[in-house]
Amino acid sequence: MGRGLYIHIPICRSKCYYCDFASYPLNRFTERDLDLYVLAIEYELKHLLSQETRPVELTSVYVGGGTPPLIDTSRLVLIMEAVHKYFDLATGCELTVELNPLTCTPETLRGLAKAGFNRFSLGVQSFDDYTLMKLGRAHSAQEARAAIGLLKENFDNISFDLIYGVPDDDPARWKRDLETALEFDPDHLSLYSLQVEEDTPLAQLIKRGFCDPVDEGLQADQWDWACDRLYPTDYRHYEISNWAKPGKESRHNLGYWLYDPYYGVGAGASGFLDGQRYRNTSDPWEYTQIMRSSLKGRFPAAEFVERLTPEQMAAERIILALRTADGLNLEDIPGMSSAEFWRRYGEKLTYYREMGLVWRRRQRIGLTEAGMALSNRIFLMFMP
Amino acid sequence: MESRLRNFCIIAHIDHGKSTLADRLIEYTGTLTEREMKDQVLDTMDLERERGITIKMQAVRLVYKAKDGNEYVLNLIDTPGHVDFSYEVSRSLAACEGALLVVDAAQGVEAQTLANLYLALENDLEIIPVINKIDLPNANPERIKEELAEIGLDPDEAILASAKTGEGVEEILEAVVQRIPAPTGQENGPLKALIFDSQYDSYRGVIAYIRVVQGQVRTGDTITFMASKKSFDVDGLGVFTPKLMPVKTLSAGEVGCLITGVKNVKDVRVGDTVTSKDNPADAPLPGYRKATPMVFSGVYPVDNDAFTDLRDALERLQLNDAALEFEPESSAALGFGFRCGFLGLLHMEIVQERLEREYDLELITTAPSVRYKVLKTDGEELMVDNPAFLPKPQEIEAIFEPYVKGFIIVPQNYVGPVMELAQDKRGEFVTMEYLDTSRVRLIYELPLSEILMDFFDKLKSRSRGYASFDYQFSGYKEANLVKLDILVNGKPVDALSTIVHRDKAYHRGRELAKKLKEIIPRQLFEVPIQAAIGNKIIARETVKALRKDVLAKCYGGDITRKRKLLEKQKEGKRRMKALGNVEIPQEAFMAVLQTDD
Ligand SMILES: Nc1nc2c(ncn2[C@@H]2O[C@H](COP(=O)(O)OP(=O)(O)O)[C@@H](O)[C@H]2O)c(=O)[nH]1
Ligand code: SF4
Ligand SMILES: [Mg+2]
Repeated sequence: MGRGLYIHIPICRSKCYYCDFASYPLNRFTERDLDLYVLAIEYELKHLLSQETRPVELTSVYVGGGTPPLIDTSRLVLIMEAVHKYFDLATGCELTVELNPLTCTPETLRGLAKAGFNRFSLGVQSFDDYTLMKLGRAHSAQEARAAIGLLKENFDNISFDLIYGVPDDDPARWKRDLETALEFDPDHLSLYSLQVEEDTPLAQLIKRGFCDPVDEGLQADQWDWACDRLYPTDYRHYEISNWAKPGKESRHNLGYWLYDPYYGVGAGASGFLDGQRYRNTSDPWEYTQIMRSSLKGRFPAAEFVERLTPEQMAAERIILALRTADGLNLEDIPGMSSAEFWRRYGEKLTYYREMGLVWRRRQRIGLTEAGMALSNRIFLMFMP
Repeated sequence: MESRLRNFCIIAHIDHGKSTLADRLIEYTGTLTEREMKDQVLDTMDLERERGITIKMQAVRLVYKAKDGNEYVLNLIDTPGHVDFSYEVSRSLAACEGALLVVDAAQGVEAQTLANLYLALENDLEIIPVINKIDLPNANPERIKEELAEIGLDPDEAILASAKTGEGVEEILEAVVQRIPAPTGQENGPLKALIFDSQYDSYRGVIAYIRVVQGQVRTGDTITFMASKKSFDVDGLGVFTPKLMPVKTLSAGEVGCLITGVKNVKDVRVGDTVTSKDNPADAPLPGYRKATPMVFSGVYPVDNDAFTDLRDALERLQLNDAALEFEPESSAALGFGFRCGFLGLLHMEIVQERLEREYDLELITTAPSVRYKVLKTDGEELMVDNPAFLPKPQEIEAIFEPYVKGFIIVPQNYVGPVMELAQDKRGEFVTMEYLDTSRVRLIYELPLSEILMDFFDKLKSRSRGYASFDYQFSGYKEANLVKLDILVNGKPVDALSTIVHRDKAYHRGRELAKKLKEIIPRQLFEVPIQAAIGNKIIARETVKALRKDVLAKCYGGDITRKRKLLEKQKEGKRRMKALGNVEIPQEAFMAVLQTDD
């Protein structure tokens, strides 16, 4: 069993129209704010470790955001040094950093190398300027291409994020984007369907009629098309929104689905430790403030902590594993025997199997690609 | 003492100011201190306050010092105004000798003004016309007087008042004292008291509202309910001020309540006579004509385990609502529930709302139906109030449906559209008369089932809100009716069947299938929805299969957020009924009502 560490850098150059993540424009931070934020992360790492009884070995570290390089790679170096200082890193530990085409300068890439990152997740989203504009992305398609070129010259193990189901989307656009992405031969692809979240500028644009609401039929077509397009390639559809070449699956993300514990550090970060889920305050200034005071409790900056009930644990374990292509080993469900599992869900699962949504191999069950597309409906039965 | 007692009620078309006037009377006689005085004190249930209608009548005892120098005790009995509750009106009328007939000074006589007036006259009540809201700028008391004359009242006897400003209130109280006769009745002789209402209180048990007609009842007496023949000790007697105030005796002519600690609802029947166990009366008072439910619907708990809770709740409600009927029924689609009989649509809605709100039940209700009379080919006669139980077409000789006499009062310039509507609804014209120079009263014979659909709404919209409507049951008529079945995913859903006129069946079938297509969410597979008459499919729609329902967004490690989304979805699903593998939302069962002709 692995153990992950997620570090959140809540800074972006500007806010994308669809974004509801914890991130703030860079110009709201002073240099001192940024220094204090790095210090706060170090304090939190130290505090988390002080709660452990023995040394902790990490199998993955993921620095996400926001746009981490915007904090300056020198600060990322400091953060990674702090990680090394308090934690042991397993051999071959996956060290991912998220980046954005605009931050892909030779200088930044040198800094990231210095910080020790060995996996790079690039927020491409699209190779179509009109689509990028609709999404409120700050970069152009040309900048994305240039960034990819530079990244590939310097590093292996590159992942792209692409987005489909954009308002007024053109089916051909998605096909072109995916083809373009494949030409660059990334090791890993995350394909996300656009979700219009309340209180985002995009929701406003749709409400005021500046663009059409997302077409669910088209989103479904685009998903189908991507699944079909990638099926004969080396990319394996190893999780609902993720495809990877063999051995290039994201160790860190798999940890989420396989119910491994993980630390969440930084403003807005979520963690999962000893059956407790927590989320830190999303306000980086408040977070910094808290970390500089005397730290109380296990999760001092948490705005939310919840101890999962045994039923919730079982449900989460099942649902998260079913997001993966390898599915769920029925012996892994906490507090539930596989006999009990079949007694409760057997009838429905058999029905879903007949519909081609679910597969079963001995003690393992999983969702087919068709089942993944309808996974929420299937998951409902497991909800307590 | 008797001669200083007056029992009266207020009757009016809805919103003409009955509750407000009652408040003024209570205030004027100082029955409540100002602090206790909330608006419309007689409407006690939350629901009543919210909807602004009076469902449940109550009695209040007012003490009034009249100009003749004497103190009078006035029992004011509040009555509901809506057409559904005319039965309750007649119950309260039976406890009175007089009625204030309140008419809005701007609106004039409306359909329920007349309906209530006729009920009062049937009960030999002294009528005091009150023209209310004379403070309104568009008040036109002179026109209203003409209308009063037209309906047979003496316009010179009308009192001009404003329940808002209090103008005319004293004159009304004087008229109650002067014009309404004191109750007659013997104080000696065996006890006879009419139960005109009852209420359940979890501490005191059943509280019976009674009007003593003869003799006396005292705390500590042993009394007998003549219908159920059960005897109980009188734990307490009270009058309403309007708070319950204990008294030692209630004598002939008086109105009050009787507390016996009876826990079983069924022992205390509204309309029954209370007598003394030791000195019983030889015959009960004439009871009420039983309220006959006209509208029926299946009421089912969403959660099948809640069946007994639903039964208990219905029993409790029935105690305060003698008109509510129910019996167990089961449906292949909905499981175990009850077929409930209601006086009308509003009554149905109120009961459903009270069940959900006061008893915290989640319910599915089927579309309302009337009660059909079916003559079978083998000569047997059946009453069918659940369309699912209509015999097969080949076994039916004839079907009869309930008709009502509908009274519509409408300004002359809307007569055209209103007549068209009545015709659309299969109405048969009876007569038309002028109420005054500009307003007309139309009488139609109408099938009750057509009124259940959306008659009120359409009437209001075609008359810009000016038409008022009232109806009374008039009898059964043969009609060319068929059962319209709905098949979901190839299987008939009993709870969605309706009985419709053959001429309208095709149209209705298509509309209903279309409506259901909108209401039923996409499932994992394609779901055909068909409308059928017998074996013949007359309409078909398809709910396309759901293609994608997945969280394919990056949430980082925020699994809680993912779970919350699923929890929300699960909550929505809980409110659906599974028919085989198809999940149907509750609204689907009421969809029949929303289809548009
Ligand atoms: N202006 C005016 N409004 C009144 C008067 N009496 C009642 N109302 C209003 O008319 C509406 C209906 O009154 P309500 O007593 O509830 O009528 P009910 O349905 O007959 O009980 C309420 O908004 C009252 O405030 C009155 O004398 N003058
Ligand atoms: S780059 Fe990502 S975190 Fe930043 S605003 Fe855009 S979507 Fe939000
Ligand atoms: Mg009222």
